[in-house]
Amino acid sequence: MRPGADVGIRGFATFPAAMSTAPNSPADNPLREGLTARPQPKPCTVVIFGATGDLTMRKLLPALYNLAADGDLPPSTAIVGFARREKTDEAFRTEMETAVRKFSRQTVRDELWNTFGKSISYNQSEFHDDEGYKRLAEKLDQIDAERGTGGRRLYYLSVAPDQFGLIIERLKKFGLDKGKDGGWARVIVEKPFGTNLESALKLNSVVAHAFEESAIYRIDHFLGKETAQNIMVLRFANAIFEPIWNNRYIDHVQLLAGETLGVENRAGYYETSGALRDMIQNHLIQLLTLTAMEPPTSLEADAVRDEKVKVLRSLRRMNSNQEVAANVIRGQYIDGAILGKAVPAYRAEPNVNPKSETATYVAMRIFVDNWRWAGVPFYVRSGKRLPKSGAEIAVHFKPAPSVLFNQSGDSSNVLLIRIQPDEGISLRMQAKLPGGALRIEPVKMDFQYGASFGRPSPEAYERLILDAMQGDATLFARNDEVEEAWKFVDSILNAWEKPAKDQPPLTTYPAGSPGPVEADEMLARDGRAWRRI
Amino acid sequence: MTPDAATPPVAPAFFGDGVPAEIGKIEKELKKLWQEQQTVATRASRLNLVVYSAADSSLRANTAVVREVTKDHACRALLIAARAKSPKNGLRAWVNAHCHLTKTGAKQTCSEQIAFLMEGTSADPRLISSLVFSHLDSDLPLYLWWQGEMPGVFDARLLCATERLIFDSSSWAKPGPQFAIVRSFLGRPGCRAATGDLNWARTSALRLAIAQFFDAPAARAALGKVDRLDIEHSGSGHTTGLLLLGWLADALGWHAPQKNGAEFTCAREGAAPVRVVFARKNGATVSRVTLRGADGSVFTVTRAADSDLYTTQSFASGSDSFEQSFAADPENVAGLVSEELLRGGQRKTYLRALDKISAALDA
Repeated sequence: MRPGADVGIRGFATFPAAMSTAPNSPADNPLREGLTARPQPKPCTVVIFGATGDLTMRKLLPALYNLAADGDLPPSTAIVGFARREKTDEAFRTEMETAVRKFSRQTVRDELWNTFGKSISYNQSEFHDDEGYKRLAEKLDQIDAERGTGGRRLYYLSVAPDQFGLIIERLKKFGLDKGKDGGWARVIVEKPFGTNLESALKLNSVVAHAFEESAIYRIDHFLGKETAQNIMVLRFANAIFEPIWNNRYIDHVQLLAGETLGVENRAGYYETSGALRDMIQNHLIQLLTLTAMEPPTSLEADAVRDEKVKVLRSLRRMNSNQEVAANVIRGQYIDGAILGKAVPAYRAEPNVNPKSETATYVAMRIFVDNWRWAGVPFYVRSGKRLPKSGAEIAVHFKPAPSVLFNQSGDSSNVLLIRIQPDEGISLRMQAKLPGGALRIEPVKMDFQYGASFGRPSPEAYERLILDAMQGDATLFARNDEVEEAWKFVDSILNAWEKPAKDQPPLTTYPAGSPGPVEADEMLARDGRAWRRI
Repeated sequence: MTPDAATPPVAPAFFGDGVPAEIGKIEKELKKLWQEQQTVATRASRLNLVVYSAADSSLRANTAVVREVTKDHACRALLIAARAKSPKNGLRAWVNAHCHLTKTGAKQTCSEQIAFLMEGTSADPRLISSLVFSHLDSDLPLYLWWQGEMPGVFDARLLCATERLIFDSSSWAKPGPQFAIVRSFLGRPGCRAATGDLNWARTSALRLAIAQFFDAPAARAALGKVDRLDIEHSGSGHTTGLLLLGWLADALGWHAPQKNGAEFTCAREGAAPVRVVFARKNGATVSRVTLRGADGSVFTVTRAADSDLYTTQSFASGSDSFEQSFAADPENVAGLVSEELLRGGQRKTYLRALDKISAALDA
């Protein structure tokens, strides 16, 4: 957001970041009063572990550049890349410049890059090498002295989870787990947060060894998306929705995250994760909690997260293979076609085991066993090589009684929240066709962010990095959220990992189709159908 | 759209010039526009933007501005031009649509524009309310952008229906009395109109650029030692500079500026007064602001001619010089209005800055 606002963009003065302690409050600097809706964070040093990786180049550096270009990043912020490869500061800067020019949502301007680029430096080291951390400590002190970053450090662990321990341990060993001179140290942890409950507990304990929970930011970029943030606004800032947001009026909810892409070059990771770990345990379960949670007592991070945890605790566990088989369909794509182009089967993709049992598609029926949602199924599905890419939440209301109008087909109202692409909200309702006959057809009221607000939303990573700098954890997962989500998912994984004869079957679906027919049958048994993808 | 042309366009074009519309049938003409359009487009609106001007050729100029503004803010735009000296009497209207591809390039969205030209005896400001109320999108907020001098009398119903009254104080020949009129509009019972001075919006990023110098605790100490302020501004930027001075004086506890020859002086409690020097220079509205401290510290924000970046340089006693660049405030009016439409709430800091400089405005 551009500077200059006395309060926020129309209507929402404080959502939700501004609820946290003002990072650059007028008490500190009298000239800051009224300058921005969201106070600019205090300058800090962002240390990226895994700085030569894909995420850094595609997302993190472009996000930091865009924040700087929009005036949201304090100019004295510094960025330190930490990685194994040998290279100079200059070479790293050049690489980052190339990446930012390629992936930034804004065109890179030389004048801005010249000053932004100066804030970037590189620290070459193996993650287990003590010397590298000693050099890092010296560098951070030097940056504090030169740029006024005030002993504030934000560590971004853009590395595989098996490296977390190595890094965290050494940060602690060299006193880097604490801020200096009244500053702070925070750590952003990239997903996956474990591969099951046991590993998640272990990871949480590793990170907690050095950092307080309040300093740990587990990032799920879905929560940084504009529409995901808008779910709470839609529900709690519009008086018409909350009274009908329950099992009395809602028939069921469908959540979808699909993509046309196959496994691409991520086979190594995907073979061990699959759709359940990759998409559902984190992104879709997070969206489910935002959809199903009770109104929080405030917009403080913990108040929101407390409500999300309550939903997670209410998810009905599947305690037997039979329950898993009845409520979860897993599938794997076979060869097919996407947009008229033939694509290979998952097992024929590079670096994939030709006998792989990895699920590239998962559809689930989930029940939230609490007062509000008793009897309302949440149908969740995610898959690769589906006909379209997109993520959405569709709230299907119960149909009107067929007393006055003898309606055929699905006449229920559907509130659709589109997370990506074309972020927006639409409401399907029934209307009379013009003419003498009383014919009723569904019509859509549609709100699109892109149409009403011409300015592009910031990328999810921009929002989330800024939140972490400001100390606002609302859009990050807390340890108990992660653990509760794993508790729910673990029972499904356990069923899948049983000997083959006891496993719920792995189904298949042609690439480019909407998924396995078994998933359709699961809903058909409930007298429902999936929304068309 | 060519409302000022001698003859109206022959072939109405959805994406081109405006279509003349009979008063009273405007909504019908708009509907026709949508029916006749050849491409798939979405009509979008999230606010009503009413633009009033008594300047010649304002419809054409404002159409160009609205076209730019609608890239960021889908709206229903009502352009009203008053030409009291016209030999003709009467009221004419044109309808138009500003269409843009969304940022993703996926869809074309269009904002509707209705332009009114009030001529001769019909150029009566009392008619404005009737035009506005008859053509508003009732459920959406109303932003009224009043160009030029403020009217001494304002239709209270229109003012009270307005969420934000936008104006540009840099265009006023005598800002003192004009600000007094604005002040009198605010706080009327039942009215919630907030102010939106484009001249204040011109200083948004500039104020941020100045403020960020003093985030570091070491530099903050220098803030209390500032004893000289230099503001270089363009010919139209004097009021902008004064607003900036008012903001600094309010935030830093300086007394109201007193004119002292060609300069101003701001007294301070327990410290030497601050000397304020204004200098006129060609270039950006405000091209340079320098704060100097008694301890030798210097903080400068510079904007080169034709640049859309501010460059900040600081030299605080005992630390190295530090230089940064970042996006400057828009100089073009469409950019300023777009920024203004992003904001909500009453401008408390603006009103306090205004209070500080009220005497200086009249000086």
